[in-house]
This record gives sequence, structure tokens and C-alpha cells, in this order.
Amino acid sequence: MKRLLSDKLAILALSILVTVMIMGLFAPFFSLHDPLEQNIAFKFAGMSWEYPLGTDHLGRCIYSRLIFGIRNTVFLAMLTMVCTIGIGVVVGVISGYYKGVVDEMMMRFCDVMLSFPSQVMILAIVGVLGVGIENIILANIVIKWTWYARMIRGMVAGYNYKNYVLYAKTIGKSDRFIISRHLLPNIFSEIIILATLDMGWVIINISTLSFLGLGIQPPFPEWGAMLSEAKNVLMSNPSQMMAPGVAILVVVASFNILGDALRDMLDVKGVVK
Amino acid sequence: MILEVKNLCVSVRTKKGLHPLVSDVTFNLEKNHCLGILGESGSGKSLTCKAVMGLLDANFHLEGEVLFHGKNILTMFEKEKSLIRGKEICMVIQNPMTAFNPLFSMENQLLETLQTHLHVKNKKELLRLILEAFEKMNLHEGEAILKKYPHQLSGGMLQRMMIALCIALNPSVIIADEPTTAIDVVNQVEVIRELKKVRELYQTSMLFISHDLSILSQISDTMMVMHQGKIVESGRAQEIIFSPKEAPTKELISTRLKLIEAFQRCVKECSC
Amino acid sequence: MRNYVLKRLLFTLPMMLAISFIAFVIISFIPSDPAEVALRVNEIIPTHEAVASMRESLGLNDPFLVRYVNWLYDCLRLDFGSSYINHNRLVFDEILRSLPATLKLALFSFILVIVVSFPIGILSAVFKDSITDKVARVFMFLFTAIPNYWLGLILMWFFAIHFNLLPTSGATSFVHYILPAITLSMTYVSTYIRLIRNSMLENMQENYLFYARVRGISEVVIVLKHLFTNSLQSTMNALGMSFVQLIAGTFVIENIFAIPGIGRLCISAIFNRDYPIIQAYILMMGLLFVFCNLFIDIIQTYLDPKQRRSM
Repeated sequence: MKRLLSDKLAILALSILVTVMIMGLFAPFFSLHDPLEQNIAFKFAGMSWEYPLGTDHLGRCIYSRLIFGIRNTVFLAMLTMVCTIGIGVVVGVISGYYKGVVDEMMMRFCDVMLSFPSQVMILAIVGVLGVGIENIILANIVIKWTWYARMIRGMVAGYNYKNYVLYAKTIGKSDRFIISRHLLPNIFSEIIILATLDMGWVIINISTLSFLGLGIQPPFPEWGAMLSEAKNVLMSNPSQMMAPGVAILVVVASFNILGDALRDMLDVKGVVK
Repeated sequence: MILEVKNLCVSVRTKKGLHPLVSDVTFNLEKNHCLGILGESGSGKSLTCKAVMGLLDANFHLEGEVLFHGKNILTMFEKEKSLIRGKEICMVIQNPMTAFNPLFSMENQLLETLQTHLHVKNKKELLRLILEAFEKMNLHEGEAILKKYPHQLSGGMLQRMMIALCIALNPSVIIADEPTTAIDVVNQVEVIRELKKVRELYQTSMLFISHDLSILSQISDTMMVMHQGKIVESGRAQEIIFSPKEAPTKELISTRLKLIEAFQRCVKECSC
Repeated sequence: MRNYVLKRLLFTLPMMLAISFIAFVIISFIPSDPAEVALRVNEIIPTHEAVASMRESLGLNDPFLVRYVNWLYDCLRLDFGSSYINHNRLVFDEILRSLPATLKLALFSFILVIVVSFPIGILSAVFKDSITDKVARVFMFLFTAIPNYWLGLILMWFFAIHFNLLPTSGATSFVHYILPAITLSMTYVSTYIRLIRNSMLENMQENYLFYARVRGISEVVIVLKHLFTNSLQSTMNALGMSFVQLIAGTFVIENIFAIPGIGRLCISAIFNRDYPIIQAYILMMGLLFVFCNLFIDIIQTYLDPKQRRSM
């Protein structure tokens, strides 16, 4: 932890992310307007005290939409990540700890899934289930969990032969005890690094699909969807695309910096994307 | 005098400033003479050679002089250095198995070297040179070998090809940096024999580095012992082997003797 | 050589079968009745009789495996059925019509990726920690964090609207592809600079490079011939994969720049619930993926002397 604190860039990234999360959690407190409130008279207004980032084509406060957009963009990406890792941990630990036929079958299944290009898989799933944010999240989980299952299986298999695990087995501790006391705490830090490095990818992915209109539906604020609306007025009001774009860039960059710093700090081998 | 090294100091640049690795090394190499450098690993033997070849990058700080035919290699421009390196001073390195690029055939890599240094552009002429050198190194069926890739050849073969490459270039000095360490005993004997033959045929001067006393005693005229980046003892090879004066030399020789004793004991026990 | 290629081709058959099966199964998961969808999109009121006759005509009443085999047989004859939206349009024709634009876009981007990332990667590895390297690293960092659709919008505004140098949309001539290709390639450019750079830095300690220096080979030859080729060998696999990813990833860019490609076709099919097109898209992309894999594998085996002899 000390080494992380000495890395100024990582501290900056971490504080940006913490600020963003707090703002997202207490969005009504930080925002100045209702993100859905339209005010046609004030459309395309410039920056002002009342509208810090101006207004969009329906006269909605861009700043407030950005703040509420955190919930849809960042938090939904985090939800996706939590679900993905949850499934990945269950499958990975079962595979890596118990080995045998189950392991073999699961890993072959993962191989097949991983050998398919992820974008096509997402489009396939969304295509079948239909347009909507819950389907996008589902699609992202479906294409991601196999990768995590593989990585986590690898980590667990590595700890399987550590002396303290062997000792715990010898003195007859239950599997549940070994997994919860020895394996999970050990792989936890590695999983966190993987997840941090991957968050940016998930955020971009979800916002891309919302941008195409496959995810969050208007009028609800989401950064990708906001950019989609900005695209329609690109000719007349190009500045509309700045705020949400910069927001995505900053958050994704912060996750990447933090992930890199964490990886360097813990010097985890094998965590290479 | 072909090569004169005067007060050579090598230090590596670290965050905490210069860290000395080799200090105050002085030696001379005359024509048709073989100087052996003895020392345990990490004593600075290889580093000294790299400095002599001008192969150390900007991370290292060099002091002193390395005079080749009276010209200081350390202050030369990269261009001048590359005229000497590989042509006038050739080196046979350890780990022959990884010394050649795995993606290109031996022919390609040997020709590439000759084309860099010799002003003969005729490929047939150069190939003839290589094949001649191969014959002298007891490498038969040269044309077949040339078509092969590094992974298809044994360590001993590759080591001899390196020596053959040296012969084809006809340098003034050959530096042999632990040429026998990474290969098996049968090939070690071969390689030593070939190197001796090179000296007989071409009267090339040689700088022979090893941690193996018995090998050095076979080939070198004079010897110097390095320990922790310094020369601790130097003189005629026979004298040093039979009457070592300094502690590190004694240590090296006695360890060697112990090893031989232990080996002989084992052999005896086995045969009983 | 020929035997090796044939053997590898034979091994791809099960994979192809698996993909066709996935493409078929996935469509049977759709929440709504395909017969009903087909009726609705043609603005026919889905009465019981209409649904029943539609089911009959779509062959939905047959057992699962029979339907799969029939479908596979049709696919082999390049008959993917007709679009739900417009019965007169065959899915195969639709795909054939939109494929060239996508392939062109992917190809331009691919060339751009190679032309830009290789030199920068080499330079930033050779001159590690120099200005070039630092600029390249900032560039890499920035472009992994920028969503490429935003980049597309910025480029479109700057070059096409503000300076009016390039067209904003369409795909009728080469200039139309410039902006989309740049947008599409940027993410990959940063990935490849990183790959090449890391791979070269890793290989830099190799003994054969040291020996090449000992032999007095010039530094340019050492970097380009000995270092780069070996690094390329290890990045080859990723490179092959990314061509397919470029093709699959065009859908965003095609939508921004209004290029009538296969990605755009698929997105509009998703909105219209035009399942035969989605199905054909999945099948085609899957097969493309398998073939690219195969192709790269063969090239890689051919280029590696250690493996060539076993061919």
C-alpha cells in the first residue's frame, strides 16, 4: 500500500475514481437539475452558473445528465464485472481445486467460447434477446466469464501445491475451510488487478452499444447514449460531444492507470492482457 | 604488441551512482601468444573482454586505455570500432546453442558476417572460404551443414562453426570467452584441439577465458587470475598452477583438486 | 506441405460444425415465435391460421435435428433463406452486397495498423526512454482509453465538417474510407505498438543479438533482421486474430460513417428482429474466424524453421 501511495499518478487516478463513485452514489445531491427535465427555451445554452456544462438539444442540463450517467455507465459496468467475476470464481475454483472430469469439460467449453470473436458473440446475444441494457450486460457477462474462469483456475491450481494448503488437507480441514481461508484470500488481490485492468474495456464496450442504440434507451442519461444524441447535431453544435467523451476517457484512463500501478506494485506474474 | 590494456576500469551506472565492476586491469597480448584469464564466475573476466571489444553500451562507464595496434578502442567512433570488431578481433562466445538466430540458415548468417567484413561480394568465393575453414575444423559435408538451421546442429558443432568463422576472417586476435562451458566433455576436448590448431596454423594471438584450470593449462602461455574485478596474480601458466601465491588462486586450485579427488573416490567406489 | 495444409483443413471441420450448430441453436432461443415475427413485420395480423401456415412454410414444425440438418444443407447451397423484412430479398444477396465495403474498410485499417505501428514500435523499443518512446507511450495510453466511436466523431467534425476536406459518410470512393479506416485502426495501432515494443525489449537480451554484435554486423541489420523478425514471430498470432476482430469490429464505425457494410446490416437486423440475417452474420463471422486462424497457423508454421520440417 505504501508503494501505491508513492505513485503520484496512481493516487490521482484513485482519487478521480473515488470522486466519480461518490458523485454517482449521491447523484441527486451533486446535480443541479433533473436530468430528464426539458427546457426547450434554453436549448444549446453555453456554460453558465445554472448550467455548468451547458444544455443539450432538448435544453437538458448536460452536467446533471453526466452525473446521473455515472450510475448507468460506471455502475452498470461494475455490476457486470462483479457478476462476471462471481461466475468466474465459482467455476475457476471448482475446476482448479477439484480437477478431474469436471475441470476438463469446463475448460474445453471455455476454449470454444474464447475462440469466438467477442464482438460477434455480443451482437449474437443482443440480436437474439433483443435491444435493452439488461441484455447487453448479460452478453458481456457471457463472453467474459470464460476468460476469468480460466485465469482463476490457473491461480487456484498454483496454490494447490503450496505447503499450507497441503498441510490443511493432511490435518483433515474441510474443503470449504481451505477454499475460504487459504485460496480465496490469496487470489483476491490478483482478481482485483484483473478486474481493474478490465474495467475500462467493459465501460467502453457497454457505452459503445448504448451509443448504437442497443443499450440504455433515451431519454435516460448514459455517456454513450449522450454521444449518440450529440452525433445527430454534430454539424450545428459540435461542442455537444465533448463532455461525455472526456468523461469516458478520464474514467477509463484512471482505471487503466490504477490497474497498471497495482500490477506493478504486487508484481503479479501471468496477469498480462 | 597487438593488444595493450592499461588501467581498465569498468563501472555500471546505477541510481546511486557508479558501481565499480572491474578495476585497474592491465595486460599485454603479443603476437602468437595466448593469455589465459582464470577466475570464478562474476569475477569480471567476461566484462573485461566485452570492454576490449567495445561492446559495452552507455550503461557502463569506462576508464583507462585499450590499445589495438596502438589505437585506443575506447575513444573510437562506432564506425571505426565496427571495422575492428569481428574482423580484427574475433570472439568465440559461450552458449553456442543460442548464439545464432533461429530463423535463418547457417549459410545466411555466416555469409552475412563475411559480406560485412570482406570486400568480396562474390557469393561463391565466400562460400569457398567458409568451406575451407570448415575442413580445417574437421567439419565435413560442409555444404549440407550450411543448409541447416541452428536448432538442427549440436552445441559442439556450432562452437566449431564459430571458430571456423574466425578462421575465415583471419583476425589478429581471437577472444575465446568460456568456449567449453556449455558443451559436453567430448566436444570440449575437440574444441580445445581446434583452437590449438588455429594457433599453430595462423599464429593468431588469443585471449582465453575460463574458470576451468585444466583447460587453461592446456592452451595458455601466460595466465592471470581475476578475483572480484581485480587481477590478483599473473605470470607464466606453469608457475601459477604449481606455485600459486595469492589466496584466491590457491582457493581455485585446491577446489579443483578436491573435485578431482572426490571424483576419483567415486570411480573407485563404483569399480569395487 | 500440402499434406499439412490438408490435415489442418480436416481439423477445422468439427470447429465449423460447432459454429454452425451455435448459430442455429442461438436463434431457437429467441423469446418470440419466428412465425409470428415474420407475420408482424409484414404487417399481417397473426391469426391462428396465419401463424400455423407460416410455421408450416418456415418448416418450424419439424423435429429439432431435422431442422438443423435441413438448415445446414441449405447453408451449404448458400441458401440462407429470405429476409423477414422483405421476402423478395435473399439473405445471401444482402450479405454479398454489404461484404465488399466491410472487407475494404477492414483491409485499409489493417494496412494502416501495420504501416503505423511497426515503425513506431521498433523505434520506441530501440530508443527506449527517448522522446520518441515517451511520445509513443503517451499515444498508446491515450488510444487505449478513447472509445473509438468518440474518436470517429472528433475526426469527422475536424476533417469533414470544420475543414471540409473529406466526406462524412458513404462508401462510394477511396476518400470515403480514409476517416473510418483511421478511426478503426487507432485502437489496434496502440495495441500493436505495445506488442512489438514489449516483444522486442524481451528479445533484446537474446544471445544471438550479442553474437551478431560480436560478429560486427551493423546495428540496422541487427535490429531489422535479427531482432524484429524474431519479435514478429511472436506477434504473428495476435496479428492474425486482429484481422477478424477488425472485420467484426467494423459495426460501430460503419454506423457512424454510414458505410453500407455487413456490421450495419447486422445492427439494423437486430433492430428489425430480422433473424435470418443475424444468423447468417454469426455463421459467416465464425467461419471467417476459423479460416483466419487456419491461415495464420499455416503461415506461422511455414516461417518457423523449427516447425517447417515437420510439415
